[in-house]
Amino acid sequence: MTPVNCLDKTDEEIVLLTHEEEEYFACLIKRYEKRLLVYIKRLADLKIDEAEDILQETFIKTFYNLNDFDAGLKFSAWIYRIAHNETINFLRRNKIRATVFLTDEEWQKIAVDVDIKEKAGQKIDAEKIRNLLDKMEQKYQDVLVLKFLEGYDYKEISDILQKPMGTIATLIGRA
Amino acid sequence: MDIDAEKIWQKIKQAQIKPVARETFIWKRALLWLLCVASLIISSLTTAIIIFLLRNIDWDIANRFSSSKFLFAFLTVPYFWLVLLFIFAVTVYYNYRHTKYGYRLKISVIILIFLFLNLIFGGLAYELDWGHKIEEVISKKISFYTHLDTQSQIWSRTEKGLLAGKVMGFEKGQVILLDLQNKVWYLSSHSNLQLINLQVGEKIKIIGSQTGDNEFLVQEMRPWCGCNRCFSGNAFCGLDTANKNSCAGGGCEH
Repeated sequence: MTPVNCLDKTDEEIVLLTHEEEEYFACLIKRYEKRLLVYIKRLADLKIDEAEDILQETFIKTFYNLNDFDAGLKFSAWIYRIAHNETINFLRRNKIRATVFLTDEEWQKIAVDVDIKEKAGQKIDAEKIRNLLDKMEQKYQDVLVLKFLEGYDYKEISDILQKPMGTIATLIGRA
Repeated sequence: MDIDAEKIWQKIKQAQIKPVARETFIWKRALLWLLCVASLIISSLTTAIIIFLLRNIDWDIANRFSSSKFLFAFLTVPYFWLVLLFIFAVTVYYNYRHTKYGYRLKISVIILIFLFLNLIFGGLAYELDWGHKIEEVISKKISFYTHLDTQSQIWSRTEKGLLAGKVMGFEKGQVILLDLQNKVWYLSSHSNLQLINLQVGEKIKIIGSQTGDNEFLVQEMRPWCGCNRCFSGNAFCGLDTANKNSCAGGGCEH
């Protein structure tokens, strides 16, 4: 990979630089490859080569549509949106049902986050959360993963899933 | 879970993938907005037509159909235009939703904004008499419109004493009328039809009774464009013969 220096630059700055010198896009690939692969794997119980194919397609689409990105969005929200759409398209094409695939630690993290918010003080364990999430519709799974595991705020989730912020709040509340 | 970033970048380079030009996205977005605005304008004109049609319903003839005014209202609802309005409303929503940040507004907010703008522009177009003018052009240019227009349907019920059409000429104290289905009628009256200052080519509505295969006895005449009342100056209304065109906001001359 061409050694361009981009460590001290923001994503948005790298996008601008990519318009002048395409090699800069490699920085974005490096920066997001692992995060996005984890995210794709979380959305569905896919084989690693399937997840990598989706990841590759995500970066190709991102590069192809790079001129469509503008400062109104955070780059991370934009590329997560592309990854999300690519994953959903893959699942539909292959008629695979989306089921959240998390490690035990991730289940525990959601359980803890939800438990903190539980006003009644009722203890909710990871196993219970796992069972509930498995039964949830995909739209609820999506917001929970983005909120509790990816750490995005409502506006960013709204930009990733292309739904109004109020709807995101409602979905999280219901979930 | 380690993936080779270099492999992805090489694939992009080998496939000679290039970012789509910025102008392409600008044009695409501009087209979406253009379609959105165009749909809003057309839907507003549709609303103007609907207001015009609703304001010109002849409520006084309701008893010829049924004792219930609600049933008459049901018969006279301009379904064709309402369906068209719905289609354009969906088009506005679809195009807006696909603009860059179209997803940020809730559907209920988009609907409220649409209704607000639609009523403002539609009301304005109605005040400018565009609703009437467009409806008239369509009824002239599109032959099947008569079958879709509920007003035309109602005023073609000769068995209920309702007739409408265009004045074609005068003959021996009778008015020759071409109805909405292109059938020729001879109109007569116990009063003197000559008292009404009708003009050839004028579109009118008539209340009366069928007396023969193509003969109709007139009790009352109205301008087609509505007003829900007789011609001012209509002998059958018992008024004088002045100002027959004064009732329809400038639209009764046709």
